[in-house]
Amino acid sequence: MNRFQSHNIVFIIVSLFLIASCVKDKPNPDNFIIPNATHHGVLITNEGSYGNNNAELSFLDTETKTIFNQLFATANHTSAGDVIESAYYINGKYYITVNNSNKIMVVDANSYQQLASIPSVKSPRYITQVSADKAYVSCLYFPSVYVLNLNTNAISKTITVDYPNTEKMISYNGYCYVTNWDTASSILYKINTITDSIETRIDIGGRASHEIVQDKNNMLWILSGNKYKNKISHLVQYNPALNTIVKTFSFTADEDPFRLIINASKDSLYFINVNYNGTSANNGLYKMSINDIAFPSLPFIHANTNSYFWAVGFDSITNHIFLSDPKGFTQQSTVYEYSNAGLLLNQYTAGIGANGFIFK
Amino acid sequence: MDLFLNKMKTSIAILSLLLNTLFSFSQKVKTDSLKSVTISEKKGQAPSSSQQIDSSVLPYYINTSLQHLLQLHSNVFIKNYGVGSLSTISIRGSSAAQTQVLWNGININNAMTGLSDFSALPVSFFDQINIEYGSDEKNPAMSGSVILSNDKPVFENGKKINVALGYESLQNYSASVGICASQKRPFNRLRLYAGESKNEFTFFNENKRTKDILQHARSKQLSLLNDYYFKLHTNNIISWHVWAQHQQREIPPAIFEEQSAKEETNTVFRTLLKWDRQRFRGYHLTSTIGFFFENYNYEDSLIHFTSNASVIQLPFEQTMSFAPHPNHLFLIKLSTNYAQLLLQKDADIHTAAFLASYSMEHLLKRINVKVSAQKEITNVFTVPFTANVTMNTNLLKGIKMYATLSSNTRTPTLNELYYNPGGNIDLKPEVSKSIEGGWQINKQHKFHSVHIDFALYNRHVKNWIVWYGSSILTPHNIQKVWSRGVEGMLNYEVSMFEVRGSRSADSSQNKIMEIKQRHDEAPNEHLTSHIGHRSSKFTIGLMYSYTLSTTEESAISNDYSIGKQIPYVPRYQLKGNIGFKINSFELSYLHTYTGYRFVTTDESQFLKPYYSGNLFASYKFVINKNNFQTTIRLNNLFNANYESIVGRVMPGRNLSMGLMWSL
Repeated sequence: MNRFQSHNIVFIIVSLFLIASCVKDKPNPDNFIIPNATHHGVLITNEGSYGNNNAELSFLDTETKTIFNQLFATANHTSAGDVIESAYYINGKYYITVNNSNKIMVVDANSYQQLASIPSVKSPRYITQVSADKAYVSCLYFPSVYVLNLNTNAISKTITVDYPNTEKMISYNGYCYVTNWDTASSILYKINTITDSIETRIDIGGRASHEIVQDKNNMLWILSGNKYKNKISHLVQYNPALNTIVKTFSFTADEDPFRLIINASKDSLYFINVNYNGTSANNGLYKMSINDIAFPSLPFIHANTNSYFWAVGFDSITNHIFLSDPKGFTQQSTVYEYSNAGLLLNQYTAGIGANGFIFK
Repeated sequence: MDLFLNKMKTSIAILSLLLNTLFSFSQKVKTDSLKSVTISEKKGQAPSSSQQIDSSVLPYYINTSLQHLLQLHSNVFIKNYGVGSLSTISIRGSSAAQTQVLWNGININNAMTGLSDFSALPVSFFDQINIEYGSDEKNPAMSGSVILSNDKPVFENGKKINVALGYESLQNYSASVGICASQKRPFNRLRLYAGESKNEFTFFNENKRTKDILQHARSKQLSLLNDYYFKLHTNNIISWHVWAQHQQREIPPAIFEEQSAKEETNTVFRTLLKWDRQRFRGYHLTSTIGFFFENYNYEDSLIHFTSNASVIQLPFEQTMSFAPHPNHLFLIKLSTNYAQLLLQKDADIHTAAFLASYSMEHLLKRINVKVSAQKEITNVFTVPFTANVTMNTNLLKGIKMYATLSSNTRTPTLNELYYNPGGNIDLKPEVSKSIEGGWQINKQHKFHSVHIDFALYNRHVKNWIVWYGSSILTPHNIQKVWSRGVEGMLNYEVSMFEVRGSRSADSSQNKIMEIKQRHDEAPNEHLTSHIGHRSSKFTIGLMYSYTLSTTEESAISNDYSIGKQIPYVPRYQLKGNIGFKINSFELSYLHTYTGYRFVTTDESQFLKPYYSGNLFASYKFVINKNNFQTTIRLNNLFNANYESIVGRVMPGRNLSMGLMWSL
């Protein structure tokens, strides 16, 4: 054996040994199952990361404290699409807007099987049922509100508004109040749900309205603003009966509030202030009474450093608060369950970009 | 007055050269009637984790971009955002901005994004493409460098022309032209590339469960590269380099999108003025000054969205090397760069770096040592001191070993600092500490040769920058990342040469030695020899990379990415090729395996591995002193359906053909 066949071969063998000492390549994903339909819990919409077609549904069984992920893929063997923006429970079905897939999906609320898909709905955002057989759908980029026929699951009409980016809506007393998240707009549209036409344009003062809730006194609370386009946020209390603005609260230019919700007794408002700079300033869940005359100075629940909240929900049965940390949309979210007093009770791992909670 | 006369002489020389170039088509060109024998990549130099792409492979890619070439013929990973779309590089589990792309010694990564788009770099523009997988003491980079270079000018009266036409079955067409003209003092090399692509192909859309056709994927590219050299005196050369490029492309819909109207346009202009001189034996000075401009425009007419950004850069580099003794080399490099986002006030970075390096050879007869240190200062952030120590030895016959210890930085880009909204002016540079080692085995036995490269590396990066947020993304120094792995390359070659009038193996062997000697003396030239008339060669090769690049620490609470692989870094890549050459005909087959790639940082979503088979054939012939070469590349032979990144499906079986003519 010459020198090549001795020490050279030793080096080759060492190389092969090092190559062989590698980790297994094939991942071992979890097995997913469909949860028990009779249990009380929370449907979690996971919007996914934009452009990755990985939107999903999760269900958190609050009785067994168990979370079930990948429900849509498990039930339908396909992806839900790209960016689930929101979901609404209507007549035993979830109507789910999939923003970047330009579609609305109709999914059975127990089996999670897709019953219908309404294609070619440009950038759908939120849905509000306005009558037994009709719902409105807001939309990003276009000055439109789609009218969805709940019997045929088809878009029957499009209401044209003044500016693009219609957002959250609320149906009350024969009208649908539609926010308009466009920096040129300070309008809240009051749409007659029988004629599907704009009846009044309400100037709420602040630009780019995006959230709306109703309190126990039937007052509407509207949150507006866009920090990154230099539109300061405002929270406006509006009396629909008298068509007057009752109160206006102004945020500072550094604040970026969104996800306005109200509790079960409809006397406390919650909203998330989000800060992407990784600091604790203006970063967390804020709580205020509908009778307060100023914003709270500190968050009700602080977001962790280098984290922020992306979704908030209030469970009217347990009075627990649910928050999500999307972790930059590059990995699965953490869902936190807090008591009504703000104590952390549990935490769960949901899908990517958990952005909404629907309690059933 | 002397200076003025010199300027006049230079101007006249430039003018005469341009005129010569223009009229070169109509002149009778002196050509070498000998067929060429291309010596494959230069091996056996001082060992390090570097690779020179085999020059015999380049003709197959002469009408395409570096993206295809590097993906199949190196151990780097190319992250391809779809056919005809952006392609970025990852070396050893790095982010694209951690790898430098050097042209004439200057980093051409876009100052806004820190990236180079490898789908926009024409292969035909470069004679040599080198990859440094680790840190190079002269060009310290966190994760290697891709070095694009051309043959040194030869100051003799002569002209060369080559033209290449390309066709791909995806309905893509391209043409490239190279004109080289030289005299005793001036030398000019002009290269042009024009391509128009439709990138249309059918595929099975797994999302829609039906056959689909990729649409809205057209692109157009027009590029020019000109290198002008003027020899002032012996060892005193001034050169002017210009690279201009315009590219328009449509961005096709992802498989889950109904349609797309996204388009992007990229305009690039780079110019460098270089003065290379040797004052006396062992003392060498190089000065380079440049101006880079890049404009990027993105438009999505479906949502009425437009974005436009421009950046300029003014790089300067002064290098001085001094070799008082053949075994000792001192090098000092001062480099500065000014980069600014146009249309955005105060969005700039000024950097100045000082590098000192010392190389000593034949220490204790067989050990070579290189030591370098660098300090960089900027107007925005503090950059730590970095250093590099490399030692190599050929202690055992036929085996060369090396080890490198280095620290490096990657400074934040203009977008990371100033992007509106989301930029973070408080960012710090990423800092790495790495160690690597490896060995090379070179064996030559009559007609057989074996070359084995093997490298192990281990690198820790702190302050790893991650874009974090939702609709508004902000970069943060959030993570520590640990990359480690092994890389291996094996080449086995059996060569058989037959010399005219002699079939003796000994004389053939002598001829091989003669060619190899000439190649060593002039490694950048394609050598010619009588023996090219009858030659045959059998080759077999293997490339393997195992990359474990995981998040080790994170500032995010409950971060599920700890211990998990960085997205879009395959742990495993394997490439095997087999081929033979008989006289002017070559046939080879390359099979690749690309392992799982994770889409998310917590490994919860991934893309499946894929295999691809690729067949290459080429034939060279001469008609009336005109040299021709035809190439055929059958890509994805087994019609594998795979995605390079989520939703971006790659073409199935397709064909590329090329015809080259040279004088």
